[in-house]
Amino acid sequence: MNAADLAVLQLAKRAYAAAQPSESEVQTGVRRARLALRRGKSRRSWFGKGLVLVVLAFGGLAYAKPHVLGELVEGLTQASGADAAKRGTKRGAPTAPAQPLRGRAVAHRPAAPELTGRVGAAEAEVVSNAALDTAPSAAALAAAKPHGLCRRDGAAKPVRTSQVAAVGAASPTQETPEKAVVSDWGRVAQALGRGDEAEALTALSALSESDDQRTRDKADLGRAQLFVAGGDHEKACALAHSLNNRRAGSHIERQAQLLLKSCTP
Amino acid sequence: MAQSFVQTALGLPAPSERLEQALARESPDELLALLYRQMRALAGPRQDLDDLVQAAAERALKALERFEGRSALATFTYGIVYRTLLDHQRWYRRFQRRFTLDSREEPGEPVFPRTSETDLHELERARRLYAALDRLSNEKRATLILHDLEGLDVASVAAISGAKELTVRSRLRDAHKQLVQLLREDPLFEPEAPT
Repeated sequence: MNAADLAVLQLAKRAYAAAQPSESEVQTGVRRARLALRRGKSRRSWFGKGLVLVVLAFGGLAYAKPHVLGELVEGLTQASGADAAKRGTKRGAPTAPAQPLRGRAVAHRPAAPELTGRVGAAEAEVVSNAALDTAPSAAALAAAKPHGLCRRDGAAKPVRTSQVAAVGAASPTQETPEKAVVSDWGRVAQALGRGDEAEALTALSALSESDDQRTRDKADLGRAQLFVAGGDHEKACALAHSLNNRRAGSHIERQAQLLLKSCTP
Repeated sequence: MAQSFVQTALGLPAPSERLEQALARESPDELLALLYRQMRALAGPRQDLDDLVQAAAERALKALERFEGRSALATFTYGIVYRTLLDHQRWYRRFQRRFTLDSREEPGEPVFPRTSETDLHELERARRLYAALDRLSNEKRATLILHDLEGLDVASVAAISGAKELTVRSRLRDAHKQLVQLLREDPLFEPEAPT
């Protein structure tokens, strides 16, 4: 820096010194700062953060998978109902059949593509719906691939799974002796596998008489979908209306509403 | 936990005591006055000076328990003031990217106290000096103020700003160059101008 630059800086220093705060200004500032500090903020920082995290988690879940929360609550209520039923059974009281656990992730996906080619999309959906809730039918569907898929919930007993697997693997001519072993949902799946809609409808009608509300709803949904596939829109719409009116639960209700879209008012 | 000599000197209680109790018991006015002067020096006269002093005081009272006496207390508090100011300016820059202030809330010209002794000519010069300083980057501005205007040595400035001494020298050189260039355009800073 040359002398002229130094002179400019000297002027700047003098101006800076002239603008220094007076003692009274400092005391005023100190007083204000002290008052501000005394207004202490008693925050619980963890509470706010925790609340934000919980809201984000539930909000994200509700946004990404709206049906999951409903099904979670539904599952919890059913589980408590099943517990009550188990306690009742121990005491010897007659109870409604307990709802089997779900094998959705395993049974639902492999079944649908395999059957779609043979019996159409609607029927495949019925089978997959059937597979949603019943362990034996899930196993029967899994039996189409003999090396099978492992079940997540383990609701079905191994012996029964193997029996059903044997049924699934057997030819249609040999199935009569084992028919007694197969559950109603298994019969639906087998009938659809053969393309026998009448038999599937009969099995679903039998399921519609079940004591269990959820089983009835699912059977009705299956029937409605089969009616749609068969072109009988009147019956399908009647069933869909019925399902929609009785508040059959998130998944079933959604499916029924989808069906209702094709119905003319 | 034993009280540090700073707490004893300032009459502050042990760190476990609540801030309000500490302030109520014995006012650390010396510390607040020190922080006010330092913030006023670094930030200049501005409308949000009180907020900045308050933020620095909160930090300083929390940080006092970590002070080990290896540097002067003024250097320690200057470091806190420097970081508080930089954080605030970063926040304000981000804020300005998204929001615009109402013209009534826009920070106005710095206001200087009017006392009988102060020369209005010098105050006008100071106003222009602050305007020129505002055009430097935050680091260069702080380095120049601390070294040239507050009279701290390079080592202290390096300790305050958390930079190496060579970095401080480099910032200082650039700041000098820019400030002189800005001030030479101003007729009030011509060496032969009347004072």
